[in-house]
Amino acid sequence: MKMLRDIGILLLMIAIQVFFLNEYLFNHYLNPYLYIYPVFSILIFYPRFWQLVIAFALGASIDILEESAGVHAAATVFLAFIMPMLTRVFGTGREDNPDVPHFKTMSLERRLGLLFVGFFLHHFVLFGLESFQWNQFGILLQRSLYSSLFSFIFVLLYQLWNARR
Amino acid sequence: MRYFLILLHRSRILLLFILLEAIAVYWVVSAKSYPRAQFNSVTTEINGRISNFQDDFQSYLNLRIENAQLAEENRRLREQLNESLLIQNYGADTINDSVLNQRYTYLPAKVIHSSHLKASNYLIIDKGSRSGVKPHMGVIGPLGVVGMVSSVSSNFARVIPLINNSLSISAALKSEGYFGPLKWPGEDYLISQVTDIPRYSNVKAGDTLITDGRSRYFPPGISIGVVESKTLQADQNFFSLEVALSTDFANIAEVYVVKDLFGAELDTLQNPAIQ
Repeated sequence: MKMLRDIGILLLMIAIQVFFLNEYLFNHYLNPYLYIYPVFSILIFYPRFWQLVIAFALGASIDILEESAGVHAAATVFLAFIMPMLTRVFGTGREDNPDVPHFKTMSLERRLGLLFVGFFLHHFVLFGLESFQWNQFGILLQRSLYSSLFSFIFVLLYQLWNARR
Repeated sequence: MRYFLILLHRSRILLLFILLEAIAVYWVVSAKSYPRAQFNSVTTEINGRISNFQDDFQSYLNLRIENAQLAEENRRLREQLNESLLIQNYGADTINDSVLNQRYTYLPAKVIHSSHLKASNYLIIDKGSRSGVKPHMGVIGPLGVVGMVSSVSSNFARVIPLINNSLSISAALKSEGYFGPLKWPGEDYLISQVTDIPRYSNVKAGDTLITDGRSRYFPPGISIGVVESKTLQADQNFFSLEVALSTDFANIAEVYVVKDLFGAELDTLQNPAIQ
C-alpha cells in the first residue's frame, strides 16, 4: 500500500515538473527542479539498491519527456548516492536516535541545510552535463547557485508550511 | 574466486552507482554526437507520442475556440470564392485561365508541442520530410503568420515562431504599403516590434500589418498583427511600432505549412552560387 502511494507521489512529481513547472511557469534559465524532492523524503525509506534504481528511473523519466538525454538521470543518481553522506553531515543535531540520522526527524534548520546543499549538488551535475563545457566553471557555479536557490525557495515554503501544521 | 565474489557483494552499491552513471553519461554523449544519436530518436518518438496524447486532451478542451477560429477562416475563404464575387465584365474581355499558375500550396499540420514563455520558443508539428516539409518553409495559422520551419525529421518538424528573437520577417502596413522588419523583442508573447517605418507615414494605432512580396516564404496579405503604438526611433527619421500579434501562441493547435512552388526558381536568382 505504502509502495503504491510512493509510486503515485513520484508520478505526480514527474507530471508537475514536466507539464507545469517546465511548461508554463518559468523560463529556461531559472527553472525549479522540484521532482528530486522525493529523493530526500521518500527514497530514504528504501534499501540502497532500490534508492539508486528508483532515482535513475525518476531522472530518466524527466529526460525522456524533456528530451534532455540522460542529464537528469545522472544528476539524480548522483544525489541518491551521496544522500547518506549528506544526511550524516547534517543529521548530527537530531533530537532522536543518534545512530540513525533521518531527514524527517532532523531539526528544521538542519533539514533546510541538507535540502539546499542537495539541490545545489544536483543542479551542478545537471548543468555541467547539460552544457558539457567544464572550462566555464564560474558560469556553471553561478547558474547552479541561482537555480538551486530558486528551487530551494519552493521547498522552504513547503517546509515552513509543514512545520506550522 | 570466493574473495572476489565477496568483494563484489560488498561493493555492489558502488558498482550499481557506476553502472547507472555510465548509462546516463553514455546517453548524454551519444545524444550530443551527431552520428550516434540513436537514443535521441527513441526519446523523440516517445516524446512525440506523449505530446500527441497531451495534445488530444488539450484539443478537446479547446474545441470551442478552435471551431470559432476555423469558422472565421472559412468565412474569409468563402468571401474569396467566385460565387462571392461580382464579375464586372460585359463580354468585351477574354479570360485566359492559363495566365494563373498556382504558386503556393498549404499542408495542414497539428502542433503537438509549443512553448511561449521561454527565451527561445519553438513549436513541433506532426508533419516532416515524408510530407514534403523542408527548412525555411513558412507556417501560418487560422489567425495569421506563425513562423518558419527550422529543421525537419521524417515525421516531425521544428518551427521557429514569431515569438523567437532569432526570426525576422518583413511586415507591411496594409493601408499604406510601408514595410519594415518584424522582430520579437522578448518578454511578452502577445507583442512584437516593427522598426524602420518612415516618419512621414500616417501609421496609427489599429492599423493592420500583413505579409507582402518581400516576406518571401509567405503569400502576400497574411495577417501579422495590429499596431498598438508608435515611437520615434533614436535616428528621428523612422517609427518603431509595437504590434499585437494576430496569432495567439498560448493557444495554437492547427497550422498550415506553406509550400512555394516557385521557391527553387527564386533561390537560383537570390543565391546564384547554388547553380
